Amino acid sequence: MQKIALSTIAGVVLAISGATSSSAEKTNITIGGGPYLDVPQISQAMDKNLWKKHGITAKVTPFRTGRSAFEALIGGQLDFALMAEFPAVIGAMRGLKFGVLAEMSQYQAGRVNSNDKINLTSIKSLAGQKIGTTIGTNVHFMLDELLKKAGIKATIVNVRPPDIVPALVRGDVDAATMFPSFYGGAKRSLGKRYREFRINNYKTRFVFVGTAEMLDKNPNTVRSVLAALMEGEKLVKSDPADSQAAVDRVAKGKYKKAYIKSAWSSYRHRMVLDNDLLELMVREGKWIAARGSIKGVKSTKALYRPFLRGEFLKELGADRVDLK
Amino acid sequence: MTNQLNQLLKVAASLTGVVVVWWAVAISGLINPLLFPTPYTVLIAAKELYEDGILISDLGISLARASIGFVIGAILGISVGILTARTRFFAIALGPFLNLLRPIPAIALVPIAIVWFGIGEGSKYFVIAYTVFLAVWLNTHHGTAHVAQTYIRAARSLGASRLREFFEVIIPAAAPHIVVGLRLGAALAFLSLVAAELSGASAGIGFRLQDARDYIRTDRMFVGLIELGILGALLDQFFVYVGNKLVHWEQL
Repeated sequence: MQKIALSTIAGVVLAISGATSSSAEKTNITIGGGPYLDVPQISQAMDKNLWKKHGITAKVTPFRTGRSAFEALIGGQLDFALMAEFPAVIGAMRGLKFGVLAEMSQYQAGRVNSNDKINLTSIKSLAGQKIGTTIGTNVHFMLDELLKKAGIKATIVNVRPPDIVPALVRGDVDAATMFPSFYGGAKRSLGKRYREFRINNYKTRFVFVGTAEMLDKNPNTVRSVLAALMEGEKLVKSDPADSQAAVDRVAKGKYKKAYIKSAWSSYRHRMVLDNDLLELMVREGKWIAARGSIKGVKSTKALYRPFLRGEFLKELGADRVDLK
Repeated sequence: MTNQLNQLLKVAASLTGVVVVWWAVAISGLINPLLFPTPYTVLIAAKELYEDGILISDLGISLARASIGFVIGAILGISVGILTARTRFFAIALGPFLNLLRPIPAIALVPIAIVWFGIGEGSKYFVIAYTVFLAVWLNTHHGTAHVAQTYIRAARSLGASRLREFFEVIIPAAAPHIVVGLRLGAALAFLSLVAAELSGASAGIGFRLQDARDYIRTDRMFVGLIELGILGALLDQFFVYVGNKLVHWEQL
Protein backbone atom coordinates (compact mmCIF):
# COMPACT_ATOMS: atom_id res chain seq x y z
CA MET A 1 0.00 0.00 0.00
CA GLN A 2 2.81 2.32 1.03
CA LYS A 3 4.66 1.39 -2.18
CA ILE A 4 1.63 2.25 -4.30
CA ALA A 5 1.21 5.59 -2.52
CA LEU A 6 4.88 6.42 -3.02
CA SER A 7 4.84 5.56 -6.70
CA THR A 8 1.65 7.60 -7.18
CA ILE A 9 3.28 10.62 -5.51
CA ALA A 10 6.46 10.11 -7.62
CA GLY A 11 4.34 9.90 -10.76
CA VAL A 12 2.48 13.11 -9.93
CA VAL A 13 5.75 14.92 -9.14
CA LEU A 14 7.25 13.75 -12.43
CA ALA A 15 4.15 14.78 -14.36
CA ILE A 16 4.17 18.23 -12.74
CA SER A 17 7.88 18.75 -13.35
CA GLY A 18 7.45 17.61 -16.93
CA ALA A 19 4.57 20.03 -17.44
CA THR A 20 6.58 22.83 -15.85
CA SER A 21 9.66 22.22 -17.96
CA SER A 22 7.67 22.06 -21.18
CA SER A 23 6.07 25.41 -20.44
CA ALA A 24 9.31 26.97 -19.09
CA GLU A 25 11.93 28.64 -21.21
CA LYS A 26 14.74 26.75 -22.83
CA THR A 27 17.75 26.77 -20.49
CA ASN A 28 20.00 24.34 -22.36
CA ILE A 29 21.47 26.54 -25.01
CA THR A 30 23.98 26.17 -27.81
CA ILE A 31 26.41 28.91 -28.81
CA GLY A 32 28.59 28.95 -31.91
CA GLY A 33 31.89 30.52 -31.00
CA GLY A 34 34.43 32.00 -33.33
CA PRO A 35 38.01 32.80 -32.23
CA TYR A 36 37.83 33.22 -28.44
CA LEU A 37 40.53 35.89 -28.43
CA ASP A 38 38.12 38.31 -30.11
CA VAL A 39 35.48 37.84 -27.41
CA PRO A 40 37.17 37.05 -24.08
CA GLN A 41 33.89 37.60 -22.22
CA ILE A 42 32.78 34.22 -23.55
CA SER A 43 36.11 32.64 -22.63
CA GLN A 44 35.63 33.78 -19.04
CA ALA A 45 32.02 32.58 -18.98
CA MET A 46 33.18 29.18 -20.23
CA ASP A 47 36.23 28.99 -18.01
CA LYS A 48 34.43 29.96 -14.79
CA ASN A 49 31.11 28.40 -15.83
CA LEU A 50 29.31 31.67 -15.26
CA TRP A 51 26.30 30.20 -17.04
CA LYS A 52 25.47 27.99 -14.09
CA LYS A 53 25.17 30.95 -11.74
CA HIS A 54 22.51 32.35 -14.07
CA GLY A 55 20.59 29.12 -14.31
CA ILE A 56 21.62 28.04 -17.78
CA THR A 57 23.63 25.26 -19.34
CA ALA A 58 25.57 26.39 -22.36
CA LYS A 59 27.34 24.28 -24.92
CA VAL A 60 29.82 26.35 -26.88
CA THR A 61 30.82 24.84 -30.21
CA PRO A 62 33.87 26.32 -31.93
CA PHE A 63 33.48 27.35 -35.56
CA ARG A 64 36.29 28.18 -37.95
CA THR A 65 34.63 31.47 -38.85
CA GLY A 66 31.80 33.56 -37.48
CA ARG A 67 30.13 33.31 -40.86
CA SER A 68 29.93 29.50 -40.51
CA ALA A 69 28.48 29.91 -37.03
CA PHE A 70 25.88 32.29 -38.45
CA GLU A 71 24.96 29.75 -41.14
CA ALA A 72 24.46 27.13 -38.43
CA LEU A 73 22.30 29.57 -36.46
CA ILE A 74 20.11 30.28 -39.48
CA GLY A 75 19.91 26.55 -40.16
CA GLY A 76 18.55 26.03 -36.64
CA GLN A 77 21.55 24.22 -35.15
CA LEU A 78 22.49 27.03 -32.75
CA ASP A 79 20.66 29.40 -30.43
CA PHE A 80 23.37 32.06 -30.36
CA ALA A 81 26.46 32.86 -32.42
CA LEU A 82 29.50 35.10 -32.28
CA MET A 83 30.69 36.73 -35.48
CA ALA A 84 31.83 39.96 -37.08
CA GLU A 85 29.15 42.49 -38.02
CA PHE A 86 29.46 41.84 -41.77
CA PRO A 87 27.45 38.58 -41.93
CA ALA A 88 24.75 40.29 -39.86
CA VAL A 89 24.44 42.94 -42.58
CA ILE A 90 24.04 40.18 -45.18
CA GLY A 91 21.49 38.39 -42.99
CA ALA A 92 19.45 41.59 -42.58
CA MET A 93 19.59 42.35 -46.31
CA ARG A 94 18.40 38.81 -47.04
CA GLY A 95 15.57 39.13 -44.52
CA LEU A 96 16.71 36.28 -42.27
CA LYS A 97 15.28 35.90 -38.79
CA PHE A 98 17.76 36.78 -36.05
CA GLY A 99 18.66 39.61 -33.72
CA VAL A 100 21.92 41.29 -32.73
CA LEU A 101 22.05 41.38 -28.93
CA ALA A 102 25.33 43.15 -28.37
CA GLU A 103 28.57 44.27 -29.90
CA MET A 104 31.02 42.36 -27.71
CA SER A 105 34.30 43.90 -28.79
CA GLN A 106 36.01 46.01 -31.42
CA TYR A 107 39.27 45.22 -33.14
CA GLN A 108 41.00 48.58 -33.44
CA ALA A 109 44.31 47.73 -35.08
CA GLY A 110 43.28 47.00 -38.66
CA ARG A 111 46.08 47.20 -41.19
CA VAL A 112 47.31 46.62 -44.71
CA ASN A 113 50.28 44.28 -44.93
CA SER A 114 52.87 43.92 -47.60
CA ASN A 115 56.15 42.24 -48.36
CA ASP A 116 59.26 44.29 -49.11
CA LYS A 117 58.38 44.63 -52.79
CA ILE A 118 56.70 47.93 -52.04
CA ASN A 119 57.56 50.78 -49.74
CA LEU A 120 54.38 50.82 -47.69
CA THR A 121 54.41 54.28 -46.18
CA SER A 122 50.89 55.35 -47.05
CA ILE A 123 47.80 54.07 -48.82
CA LYS A 124 48.96 55.91 -51.95
CA SER A 125 51.84 53.43 -52.20
CA LEU A 126 49.28 50.73 -53.06
CA ALA A 127 48.48 52.39 -56.40
CA GLY A 128 48.78 49.92 -59.26
CA GLN A 129 49.80 47.06 -56.96
CA LYS A 130 48.39 43.57 -56.76
CA ILE A 131 46.51 43.30 -53.46
CA GLY A 132 45.22 40.03 -52.05
CA THR A 133 42.05 39.93 -50.00
CA THR A 134 39.14 37.59 -49.41
CA ILE A 135 36.60 38.98 -51.83
CA GLY A 136 33.15 39.68 -50.46
CA THR A 137 34.21 39.94 -46.81
CA ASN A 138 34.68 42.83 -44.38
CA VAL A 139 38.41 43.03 -45.18
CA HIS A 140 37.54 43.50 -48.85
CA PHE A 141 35.08 46.22 -47.85
CA MET A 142 37.80 47.86 -45.74
CA LEU A 143 40.27 47.77 -48.65
CA ASP A 144 37.76 49.09 -51.18
CA GLU A 145 36.88 52.02 -48.90
CA LEU A 146 40.56 52.81 -48.39
CA LEU A 147 41.36 52.80 -52.11
CA LYS A 148 38.29 54.83 -52.95
CA LYS A 149 39.07 57.42 -50.27
CA ALA A 150 42.67 57.71 -51.46
CA GLY A 151 41.49 57.92 -55.08
CA ILE A 152 43.79 55.17 -56.28
CA LYS A 153 43.36 51.98 -58.27
CA ALA A 154 44.91 48.59 -57.64
CA THR A 155 44.41 45.01 -58.84
CA ILE A 156 42.43 43.07 -56.26
CA VAL A 157 43.02 39.32 -56.16
CA ASN A 158 40.74 36.91 -54.32
CA VAL A 159 42.62 34.78 -51.80
CA ARG A 160 40.94 32.62 -49.18
CA PRO A 161 42.06 33.40 -45.59
CA PRO A 162 44.52 30.51 -45.06
CA ASP A 163 46.26 31.18 -48.40
CA ILE A 164 46.85 34.87 -47.92
CA VAL A 165 50.10 34.66 -45.94
CA PRO A 166 51.71 32.11 -48.34
CA ALA A 167 50.65 34.39 -51.23
CA LEU A 168 52.43 37.35 -49.64
CA VAL A 169 55.51 35.28 -48.86
CA ARG A 170 55.71 33.88 -52.41
CA GLY A 171 55.13 37.31 -53.89
CA ASP A 172 51.94 36.28 -55.72
CA VAL A 173 50.51 39.50 -54.29
CA ASP A 174 52.35 42.68 -53.28
CA ALA A 175 50.08 43.59 -50.39
CA ALA A 176 47.07 42.18 -48.57
CA THR A 177 44.21 42.91 -46.24
CA MET A 178 43.48 39.90 -44.06
CA PHE A 179 41.58 38.89 -40.95
CA PRO A 180 43.37 39.99 -37.75
CA SER A 181 43.95 36.38 -36.70
CA PHE A 182 46.46 36.08 -39.59
CA TYR A 183 48.56 39.16 -38.70
CA GLY A 184 50.80 37.16 -36.38
CA GLY A 185 51.42 34.50 -39.04
CA ALA A 186 52.25 37.16 -41.63
CA LYS A 187 54.78 38.81 -39.30
CA ARG A 188 56.41 35.47 -38.47
CA SER A 189 56.52 34.19 -42.06
CA LEU A 190 57.73 37.40 -43.68
CA GLY A 191 60.31 38.21 -40.98
CA LYS A 192 62.37 41.20 -42.09
CA ARG A 193 60.26 41.51 -45.23
CA TYR A 194 57.15 42.27 -43.14
CA ARG A 195 55.56 45.69 -43.67
CA GLU A 196 52.36 47.10 -42.27
CA PHE A 197 50.33 50.24 -42.50
CA ARG A 198 47.74 50.91 -39.78
CA ILE A 199 44.37 52.13 -40.93
CA ASN A 200 41.55 53.84 -39.08
CA ASN A 201 38.64 53.79 -41.49
CA TYR A 202 37.31 50.49 -40.22
CA LYS A 203 37.13 48.61 -36.93
CA THR A 204 35.81 45.06 -36.90
CA ARG A 205 32.88 44.66 -34.53
CA PHE A 206 32.34 41.25 -32.98
CA VAL A 207 28.66 40.80 -32.31
CA PHE A 208 26.56 38.33 -30.37
CA VAL A 209 23.43 37.25 -32.20
CA GLY A 210 20.48 35.04 -31.33
CA THR A 211 17.72 33.30 -33.25
CA ALA A 212 14.37 35.09 -33.48
CA GLU A 213 12.82 32.16 -31.66
CA MET A 214 15.23 32.54 -28.77
CA LEU A 215 14.69 36.28 -28.50
CA ASP A 216 10.91 36.17 -28.79
CA LYS A 217 10.06 33.00 -26.88
CA ASN A 218 12.89 32.74 -24.34
CA PRO A 219 13.53 36.32 -23.18
CA ASN A 220 14.57 35.30 -19.66
CA THR A 221 17.20 32.93 -21.01
CA VAL A 222 18.50 35.71 -23.26
CA ARG A 223 18.77 37.96 -20.20
CA SER A 224 20.65 35.23 -18.31
CA VAL A 225 23.08 34.64 -21.16
CA LEU A 226 23.83 38.36 -21.45
CA ALA A 227 24.19 38.63 -17.67
CA ALA A 228 26.76 35.81 -17.70
CA LEU A 229 28.67 37.52 -20.51
CA MET A 230 28.51 40.83 -18.68
CA GLU A 231 30.01 39.15 -15.63
CA GLY A 232 32.70 37.76 -17.93
CA GLU A 233 33.37 41.30 -19.11
CA LYS A 234 33.84 42.50 -15.54
CA LEU A 235 36.56 39.87 -15.14
CA VAL A 236 38.12 40.89 -18.45
CA LYS A 237 38.39 44.47 -17.16
CA SER A 238 39.42 43.68 -13.60
CA ASP A 239 41.91 40.93 -14.28
CA PRO A 240 43.33 40.97 -17.82
CA ALA A 241 46.07 38.46 -16.95
CA ASP A 242 43.56 35.89 -15.73
CA SER A 243 41.34 36.61 -18.74
CA GLN A 244 44.26 36.00 -21.10
CA ALA A 245 44.90 32.72 -19.30
CA ALA A 246 41.18 31.90 -19.65
CA VAL A 247 41.37 32.50 -23.42
CA ASP A 248 44.38 30.18 -23.55
CA ARG A 249 42.60 27.46 -21.58
CA VAL A 250 39.39 27.69 -23.59
CA ALA A 251 41.18 27.86 -26.95
CA LYS A 252 43.24 24.82 -25.86
CA GLY A 253 46.59 26.20 -26.97
CA LYS A 254 45.38 27.56 -30.33
CA TYR A 255 47.22 30.81 -29.69
CA LYS A 256 50.65 31.37 -28.21
CA LYS A 257 50.42 32.98 -24.77
CA ALA A 258 52.69 35.82 -25.86
CA TYR A 259 50.44 36.50 -28.84
CA ILE A 260 47.31 36.71 -26.66
CA LYS A 261 49.08 39.23 -24.43
CA SER A 262 50.38 41.35 -27.30
CA ALA A 263 47.04 41.36 -29.15
CA TRP A 264 45.02 42.28 -26.05
CA SER A 265 45.47 46.03 -26.34
CA SER A 266 44.21 46.00 -29.95
CA TYR A 267 40.69 45.28 -28.73
CA ARG A 268 38.08 47.31 -26.95
CA HIS A 269 36.10 44.90 -24.80
CA ARG A 270 32.76 46.49 -24.02
CA MET A 271 29.27 45.19 -24.66
CA VAL A 272 27.34 47.95 -26.40
CA LEU A 273 24.84 48.60 -29.16
CA ASP A 274 25.19 52.01 -30.70
CA ASN A 275 24.77 54.19 -33.74
CA ASP A 276 28.37 53.63 -34.82
CA LEU A 277 27.52 50.01 -35.49
CA LEU A 278 24.30 50.96 -37.24
CA GLU A 279 26.09 53.45 -39.49
CA LEU A 280 28.79 50.91 -40.32
CA MET A 281 26.10 48.39 -41.26
CA VAL A 282 24.53 50.95 -43.61
CA ARG A 283 27.91 51.61 -45.28
CA GLU A 284 28.59 47.91 -45.68
CA GLY A 285 25.11 47.27 -47.05
CA LYS A 286 25.56 50.00 -49.66
CA TRP A 287 28.87 48.46 -50.70
CA ILE A 288 27.27 44.99 -50.97
CA ALA A 289 24.43 46.40 -53.08
CA ALA A 290 26.88 48.28 -55.32
CA ARG A 291 28.79 45.04 -55.92
CA GLY A 292 25.53 43.45 -57.08
CA SER A 293 25.82 40.62 -54.56
CA ILE A 294 22.37 41.41 -53.16
CA LYS A 295 20.02 43.38 -55.36
CA GLY A 296 16.80 45.23 -54.78
CA VAL A 297 17.48 46.09 -51.12
CA LYS A 298 18.10 49.65 -49.96
CA SER A 299 20.71 49.84 -47.24
CA THR A 300 19.25 52.26 -44.69
CA LYS A 301 19.18 52.55 -40.92
CA ALA A 302 15.50 51.58 -41.03
CA LEU A 303 16.47 48.24 -42.59
CA TYR A 304 18.93 47.24 -39.85
CA ARG A 305 17.37 48.90 -36.81
CA PRO A 306 14.81 46.09 -36.15
CA PHE A 307 17.66 43.57 -36.09
CA LEU A 308 19.49 45.44 -33.31
CA ARG A 309 17.65 44.14 -30.25
CA GLY A 310 18.99 46.48 -27.59
CA GLU A 311 16.17 45.97 -25.09
CA PHE A 312 17.95 43.09 -23.35
CA LEU A 313 21.30 44.83 -23.00
CA LYS A 314 19.59 48.03 -21.85
CA GLU A 315 18.21 46.19 -18.83
CA LEU A 316 21.78 45.41 -17.78
CA GLY A 317 23.08 48.91 -18.39
CA ALA A 318 21.10 51.76 -19.90
CA ASP A 319 24.29 53.57 -20.94
CA ARG A 320 25.33 50.64 -23.12
CA VAL A 321 22.59 51.11 -25.68
CA ASP A 322 22.49 54.24 -27.77
CA LEU A 323 20.36 53.65 -30.83
CA LYS A 324 18.39 56.40 -32.46
CA MET B 1 15.23 8.69 -85.20
CA THR B 2 12.18 7.44 -83.28
CA ASN B 3 14.52 5.94 -80.70
CA GLN B 4 16.30 9.26 -80.26
CA LEU B 5 12.99 11.08 -79.92
CA ASN B 6 11.85 8.51 -77.35
CA GLN B 7 15.07 9.00 -75.42
CA LEU B 8 14.66 12.76 -75.52
CA LEU B 9 11.07 12.52 -74.29
CA LYS B 10 12.15 10.28 -71.42
CA VAL B 11 14.84 12.78 -70.38
CA ALA B 12 12.36 15.67 -70.62
CA ALA B 13 9.76 13.76 -68.55
CA SER B 14 12.30 12.87 -65.89
CA LEU B 15 13.60 16.45 -65.59
CA THR B 16 10.06 17.85 -65.53
CA GLY B 17 9.23 15.47 -62.68
CA VAL B 18 12.26 16.64 -60.72
CA VAL B 19 11.33 20.30 -61.25
CA VAL B 20 7.72 19.65 -60.14
CA VAL B 21 8.85 17.90 -56.92
CA TRP B 22 11.45 20.64 -56.29
CA TRP B 23 8.82 23.35 -56.76
CA ALA B 24 6.34 21.56 -54.51
CA VAL B 25 8.90 21.20 -51.70
CA ALA B 26 10.02 24.83 -52.08
CA ILE B 27 6.50 26.25 -51.75
CA SER B 28 5.37 23.77 -49.08
CA GLY B 29 6.63 26.08 -46.33
CA LEU B 30 8.63 23.25 -44.78
CA ILE B 31 11.93 24.90 -45.65
CA ASN B 32 12.90 28.57 -45.50
CA PRO B 33 12.54 29.79 -49.13
CA LEU B 34 15.76 31.76 -48.75
CA LEU B 35 17.59 28.52 -48.14
CA PHE B 36 15.65 26.43 -50.67
CA PRO B 37 14.52 28.63 -53.56
CA THR B 38 11.86 27.75 -56.14
CA PRO B 39 12.88 26.96 -59.74
CA TYR B 40 11.43 30.34 -60.72
CA THR B 41 13.67 32.20 -58.23
CA VAL B 42 16.65 30.31 -59.61
CA LEU B 43 15.64 31.26 -63.14
CA ILE B 44 15.45 34.93 -62.12
CA ALA B 45 18.92 34.63 -60.50
CA ALA B 46 20.26 33.11 -63.73
CA LYS B 47 18.74 35.97 -65.72
CA GLU B 48 20.29 38.48 -63.32
CA LEU B 49 23.73 36.87 -63.70
CA TYR B 50 23.33 36.71 -67.46
CA GLU B 51 22.35 40.37 -67.69
CA ASP B 52 25.34 41.35 -65.55
CA GLY B 53 27.57 39.45 -67.97
CA ILE B 54 28.73 37.17 -65.15
CA LEU B 55 27.10 33.92 -66.30
CA ILE B 56 28.81 33.77 -69.69
CA SER B 57 32.12 35.13 -68.45
CA ASP B 58 32.24 32.59 -65.58
CA LEU B 59 31.35 29.81 -68.00
CA GLY B 60 34.17 30.79 -70.37
CA ILE B 61 36.76 31.08 -67.61
CA SER B 62 35.82 27.77 -65.97
CA LEU B 63 35.66 25.95 -69.31
CA ALA B 64 39.13 27.22 -70.21
CA ARG B 65 40.55 26.11 -66.85
CA ALA B 66 38.86 22.70 -67.04
CA SER B 67 39.98 22.18 -70.65
CA ILE B 68 43.63 23.05 -70.03
CA GLY B 69 43.75 20.91 -66.87
CA PHE B 70 42.00 18.09 -68.72
CA VAL B 71 44.40 18.13 -71.69
CA ILE B 72 47.46 18.08 -69.40
CA GLY B 73 46.01 15.30 -67.25
CA ALA B 74 44.83 13.25 -70.23
CA ILE B 75 48.14 13.39 -72.11
CA LEU B 76 50.08 12.43 -68.98
CA GLY B 77 47.52 9.75 -68.04
CA ILE B 78 47.64 8.03 -71.43
CA SER B 79 51.45 8.21 -71.66
CA VAL B 80 52.11 6.93 -68.14
CA GLY B 81 49.32 4.32 -68.43
CA ILE B 82 50.94 2.82 -71.52
CA LEU B 83 54.36 2.89 -69.86
CA THR B 84 53.24 1.21 -66.63
CA ALA B 85 51.25 -1.40 -68.55
CA ARG B 86 53.87 -2.37 -71.11
CA THR B 87 57.18 -1.74 -69.35
CA ARG B 88 58.17 -3.73 -66.29
CA PHE B 89 60.51 -0.99 -65.02
CA PHE B 90 57.78 1.69 -64.97
CA ALA B 91 55.24 -0.76 -63.56
CA ILE B 92 57.52 -1.43 -60.58
CA ALA B 93 58.75 2.16 -60.21
CA LEU B 94 55.45 4.01 -60.55
CA GLY B 95 52.59 1.53 -60.02
CA PRO B 96 52.58 1.42 -56.19
CA PHE B 97 53.05 5.18 -55.89
CA LEU B 98 50.19 5.95 -58.29
CA ASN B 99 47.92 3.52 -56.47
CA LEU B 100 48.76 5.35 -53.26
CA LEU B 101 47.78 8.68 -54.87
CA ARG B 102 44.41 7.41 -56.09
CA PRO B 103 42.48 7.81 -52.82
CA ILE B 104 43.73 11.39 -52.27
CA PRO B 105 40.89 13.74 -53.25
CA ALA B 106 41.57 16.87 -55.28
CA ILE B 107 40.31 19.16 -52.53
CA ALA B 108 43.01 17.85 -50.18
CA LEU B 109 45.62 18.93 -52.70
CA VAL B 110 44.46 22.54 -52.96
CA PRO B 111 46.54 23.86 -50.02
CA ILE B 112 49.74 22.20 -51.26
CA ALA B 113 49.04 23.28 -54.85
CA ILE B 114 48.79 26.88 -53.68
CA VAL B 115 52.04 26.65 -51.75
CA TRP B 116 53.81 25.10 -54.77
CA PHE B 117 52.26 26.97 -57.67
CA GLY B 118 50.88 30.11 -56.02
CA ILE B 119 47.39 31.52 -56.32
CA GLY B 120 47.57 31.95 -60.10
CA GLU B 121 46.33 29.62 -62.81
CA GLY B 122 49.13 27.08 -62.24
CA SER B 123 47.63 25.68 -59.04
CA LYS B 124 44.22 25.33 -60.68
CA TYR B 125 45.61 23.44 -63.68
CA PHE B 126 47.57 21.24 -61.29
CA VAL B 127 44.53 20.24 -59.23
CA ILE B 128 42.38 19.52 -62.30
CA ALA B 129 45.17 17.73 -64.18
CA TYR B 130 45.92 15.56 -61.13
CA THR B 131 42.33 14.30 -60.93
CA VAL B 132 42.07 13.69 -64.67
CA PHE B 133 45.49 12.05 -64.80
CA LEU B 134 44.63 9.38 -62.22
CA ALA B 135 41.35 8.42 -63.91
CA VAL B 136 42.90 8.26 -67.38
CA TRP B 137 46.03 6.49 -66.14
CA LEU B 138 44.08 3.74 -64.38
CA ASN B 139 41.86 3.01 -67.38
CA THR B 140 44.70 3.22 -69.88
CA HIS B 141 46.87 0.99 -67.73
CA HIS B 142 44.09 -1.57 -67.32
CA GLY B 143 43.17 -1.57 -71.01
CA THR B 144 46.76 -1.75 -72.24
CA ALA B 145 47.87 -4.39 -69.74
CA HIS B 146 45.00 -6.74 -70.51
CA VAL B 147 45.15 -6.98 -74.29
CA ALA B 148 44.25 -10.57 -75.24
CA GLN B 149 47.42 -12.61 -75.75
CA THR B 150 45.87 -14.28 -78.82
CA TYR B 151 45.90 -10.90 -80.65
CA ILE B 152 49.57 -10.38 -79.85
CA ARG B 153 50.53 -13.96 -80.77
CA ALA B 154 48.62 -13.68 -84.04
CA ALA B 155 50.35 -10.41 -84.93
CA ARG B 156 53.78 -11.84 -84.10
CA SER B 157 53.18 -15.04 -86.05
CA LEU B 158 52.32 -12.85 -89.03
CA GLY B 159 55.67 -11.12 -88.62
CA ALA B 160 54.49 -7.75 -87.32
CA SER B 161 57.23 -5.53 -85.96
CA ARG B 162 57.10 -4.31 -82.31
CA LEU B 163 56.09 -0.84 -83.48
CA ARG B 164 53.34 -2.19 -85.73
CA GLU B 165 52.16 -4.52 -82.96
CA PHE B 166 51.92 -1.54 -80.62
CA PHE B 167 50.02 0.78 -82.96
CA GLU B 168 47.86 -1.79 -84.75
CA VAL B 169 47.10 -4.30 -81.99
CA ILE B 170 47.69 -2.93 -78.50
CA ILE B 171 46.38 0.63 -78.93
CA PRO B 172 43.16 -0.38 -80.79
CA ALA B 173 42.51 -3.10 -78.20
CA ALA B 174 43.01 -0.68 -75.33
CA ALA B 175 41.18 2.22 -77.00
CA PRO B 176 37.72 1.51 -75.48
CA HIS B 177 39.26 1.64 -72.00
CA ILE B 178 41.18 4.82 -72.81
CA VAL B 179 38.00 6.50 -74.05
CA VAL B 180 36.16 5.45 -70.87
CA GLY B 181 39.04 6.93 -68.86
CA LEU B 182 38.79 10.20 -70.81
CA ARG B 183 35.02 10.29 -70.26
CA LEU B 184 35.49 9.76 -66.54
CA GLY B 185 38.32 12.29 -66.49
CA ALA B 186 36.11 14.92 -68.13
CA ALA B 187 33.49 14.51 -65.42
CA LEU B 188 36.17 14.66 -62.72
CA ALA B 189 37.66 17.80 -64.28
CA PHE B 190 34.49 19.68 -63.37
CA LEU B 191 34.43 18.11 -59.93
CA SER B 192 37.92 19.34 -59.15
CA LEU B 193 37.31 22.68 -60.87
CA VAL B 194 35.15 23.79 -57.94
CA ALA B 195 37.90 22.86 -55.47
CA ALA B 196 40.52 24.56 -57.65
CA GLU B 197 38.56 27.82 -57.87
CA LEU B 198 38.12 28.19 -54.13
CA SER B 199 41.24 30.32 -53.81
CA GLY B 200 43.03 32.73 -56.07
CA ALA B 201 40.04 33.01 -58.39
CA SER B 202 37.99 36.14 -58.85
CA ALA B 203 35.75 34.58 -61.48
CA GLY B 204 34.54 31.16 -62.56
CA ILE B 205 31.74 28.85 -61.50
CA GLY B 206 33.56 27.59 -58.38
CA PHE B 207 34.33 31.12 -57.23
CA ARG B 208 30.74 32.20 -57.88
CA LEU B 209 29.43 29.29 -55.78
CA GLN B 210 31.60 30.41 -52.87
CA ASP B 211 30.64 34.06 -53.34
CA ALA B 212 26.95 33.11 -53.42
CA ARG B 213 27.43 31.15 -50.21
CA ASP B 214 29.03 34.18 -48.55
CA TYR B 215 25.92 36.24 -49.34
CA ILE B 216 23.41 33.48 -48.58
CA ARG B 217 22.36 33.57 -52.23
CA THR B 218 21.14 30.00 -52.53
CA ASP B 219 19.37 30.94 -55.75
CA ARG B 220 22.76 31.78 -57.30
CA MET B 221 24.27 28.63 -55.81
CA PHE B 222 21.60 26.59 -57.58
CA VAL B 223 22.45 28.38 -60.85
CA GLY B 224 26.11 27.36 -60.44
CA LEU B 225 25.23 23.77 -59.61
CA ILE B 226 22.84 23.48 -62.56
CA GLU B 227 25.50 25.04 -64.82
CA LEU B 228 28.01 22.40 -63.67
CA GLY B 229 25.45 19.62 -64.19
CA ILE B 230 24.56 20.75 -67.71
CA LEU B 231 28.20 21.24 -68.69
CA GLY B 232 29.14 17.80 -67.35
CA ALA B 233 26.23 16.09 -69.12
CA LEU B 234 26.99 17.82 -72.44
CA LEU B 235 30.64 16.91 -72.21
CA ASP B 236 29.76 13.32 -71.38
CA GLN B 237 27.50 13.12 -74.45
CA PHE B 238 30.29 14.63 -76.53
CA PHE B 239 32.69 11.91 -75.35
CA VAL B 240 30.14 9.19 -76.05
CA TYR B 241 29.68 10.55 -79.59
CA VAL B 242 33.38 10.96 -80.33
CA GLY B 243 34.19 7.66 -78.60
CA ASN B 244 31.65 5.78 -80.71
CA LYS B 245 33.16 7.25 -83.86
CA LEU B 246 36.73 6.45 -82.80
CA VAL B 247 36.05 3.04 -81.31
CA HIS B 248 33.18 2.08 -83.60
CA TRP B 249 33.64 -1.64 -82.91
CA GLU B 250 32.68 -1.19 -79.26
CA GLN B 251 29.48 0.32 -77.82
CA LEU B 252 30.40 2.93 -75.17
